Amino acid sequence: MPKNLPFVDIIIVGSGASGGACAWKLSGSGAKVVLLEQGNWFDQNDYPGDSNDWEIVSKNAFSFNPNIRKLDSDYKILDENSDIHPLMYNAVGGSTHHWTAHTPRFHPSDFKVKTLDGVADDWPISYWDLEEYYELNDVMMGCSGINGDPANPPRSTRPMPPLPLGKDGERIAQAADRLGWHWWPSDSYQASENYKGRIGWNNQGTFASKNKWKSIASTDHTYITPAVENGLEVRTNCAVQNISVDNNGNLTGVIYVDSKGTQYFQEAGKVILACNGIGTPRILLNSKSKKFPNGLANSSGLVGKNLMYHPYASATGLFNENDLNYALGPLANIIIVQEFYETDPKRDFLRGYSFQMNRAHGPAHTALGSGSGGVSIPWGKDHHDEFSKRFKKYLGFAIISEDLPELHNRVEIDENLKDKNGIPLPKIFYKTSQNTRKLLDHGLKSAEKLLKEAGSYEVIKQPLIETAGWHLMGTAKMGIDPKTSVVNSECQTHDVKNLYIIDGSVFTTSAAVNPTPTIQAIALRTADKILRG
Amino acid sequence: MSISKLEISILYNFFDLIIPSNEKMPPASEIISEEEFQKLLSTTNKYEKGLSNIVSFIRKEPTARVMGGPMVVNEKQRADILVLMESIIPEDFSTLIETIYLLYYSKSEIHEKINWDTREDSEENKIDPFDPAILKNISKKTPFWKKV
Repeated sequence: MPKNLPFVDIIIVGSGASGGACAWKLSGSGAKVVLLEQGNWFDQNDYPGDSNDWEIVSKNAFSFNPNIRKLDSDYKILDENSDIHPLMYNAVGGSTHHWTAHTPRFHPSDFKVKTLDGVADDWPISYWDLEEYYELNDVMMGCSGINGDPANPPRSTRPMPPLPLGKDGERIAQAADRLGWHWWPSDSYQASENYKGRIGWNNQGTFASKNKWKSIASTDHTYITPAVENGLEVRTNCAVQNISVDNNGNLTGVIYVDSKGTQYFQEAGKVILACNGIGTPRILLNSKSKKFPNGLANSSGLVGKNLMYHPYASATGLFNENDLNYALGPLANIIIVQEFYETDPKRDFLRGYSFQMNRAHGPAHTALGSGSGGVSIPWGKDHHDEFSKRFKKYLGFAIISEDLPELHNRVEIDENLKDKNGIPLPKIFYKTSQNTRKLLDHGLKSAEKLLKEAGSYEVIKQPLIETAGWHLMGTAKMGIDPKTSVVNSECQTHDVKNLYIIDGSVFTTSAAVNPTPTIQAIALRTADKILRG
Repeated sequence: MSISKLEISILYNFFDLIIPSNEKMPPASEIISEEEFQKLLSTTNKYEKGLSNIVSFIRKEPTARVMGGPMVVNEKQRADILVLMESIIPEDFSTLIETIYLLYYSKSEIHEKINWDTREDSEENKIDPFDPAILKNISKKTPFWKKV
């Protein structure tokens, strides 16, 4: 039997991008708020970097992939049936400890794809409903960027100027200018100057620089620490097994296990799930009861369905010149190109994509083909010549495609395979659609054109990056109709009053940009709605 | 870890065929010791299955069997085994490549030879701040986001 804990008003499960933001907004309201996190606090001094073996660590203990990393806080994801491997980090701050902090916003059109293009569904909210929360989040996380982007609506001045483009970024910008294509300095939650106690990046050092990692916003610092000062209670190393309801289907609290294996029942008035597009459906599907035999909040049958990732392709240009920045500066948040963002009826696919310029990694990653099409440098007698041809002489684009929701792309749970806490593991089924393949193919041709315009003599293309499942969305869809969605426009589940979901699970569609600012804006808006009753 | 010292020695025997020397660069065995290879394998089980499959492949390979074991095959025969391995068990072969490339290119001796300096205070590692002058042309582009 679990140990009963005294009632609290609100439990938030998960302390990453959305959980942190929501916790801060709710803290100080007078409500007793508890944040449960399956990982521990993360010491920024533990970032690998500034050492020769940085690349070894980044491929193992600090891998993006929990199945490789295998920390105590990680759970295995059964992804053998997925074209793309899901990535995440589990700690206070979640995956904001392990990201490039590229933070574009969704476009207004992204919320209306059914109306505009006849596919998927419209969101029940608009860009304008989120605008004030995007603005607030930019201030809290610290956005580096600059106004005037013709591809996006006007907005408030960013708190900090853009990160440097570098010679390679300027080369790409000039090439895009010659083609008449859109480009803009990327918005980033990496501080370009000192900001709210965070040391700004000093424009020195390679991708491995510890200071560069520290200049990137993580929610443990931007949101959770101030929230703790406001009275938030954070409980670490606590893995939620299920959400409890009474015989009438009313929410009563959560059952979780701590690091010693002790099981607790935490009674609560409201529960907010913020565990990402895999963790959240995992908990819901594990929360079966007489009243909800198919899992909690799942009367639509859509919990776990419609998984969207943002499939990526990459195009890498090789250059003869030695004056590329190579690994200096940000890895990915440099330049964004949104020339092909919207549906064009002349093309053979729906919706569109962005390019994100990215830089090279260190020598080991170069040899292994990271950032250059995933193709390793050949072994044997030609090895050193081929290495010299690539090392410090390439840059490229990641093409990020809009992923349309499809029912067969899904998260299930495997009742037979469980983690150390006895919680059934998530099992992923995902196939890249024909639309996505065509879209990425178009993106690769466009990227090749831009790289050649910039002076590249050879472009290496990777049609699908299998290791790029950073963005986990759609598995508890937002909508108006309880028969075709899991949460309403305020992120409250249709089926269970007082149960909310605020992570990427609620995305109706995925857009073609990184999702974090939108996830956080939704989390802040939901907290606001809860506070206003 | 289930890979034995003997198996590590078998694998190590192939290192210089993966990264040989040239006039500027040393071969893999000069940079990576068997102990370092073993240490990497002890920190993770990521490579265990792939490398075990490779050892098993080498042991079963007819040339190695006829010659009296994987430790006595000559360089040409070892190269042939690698080519065969790359085509028959490519995923496992990639595991071997990853371990060798990671260890080789993480060494300061190699960094010095390829001029890779990660020090923040290095003059080479400075990047100029953002200059808004670069926006001159793109700023003239008419806004094209859909107003919905």
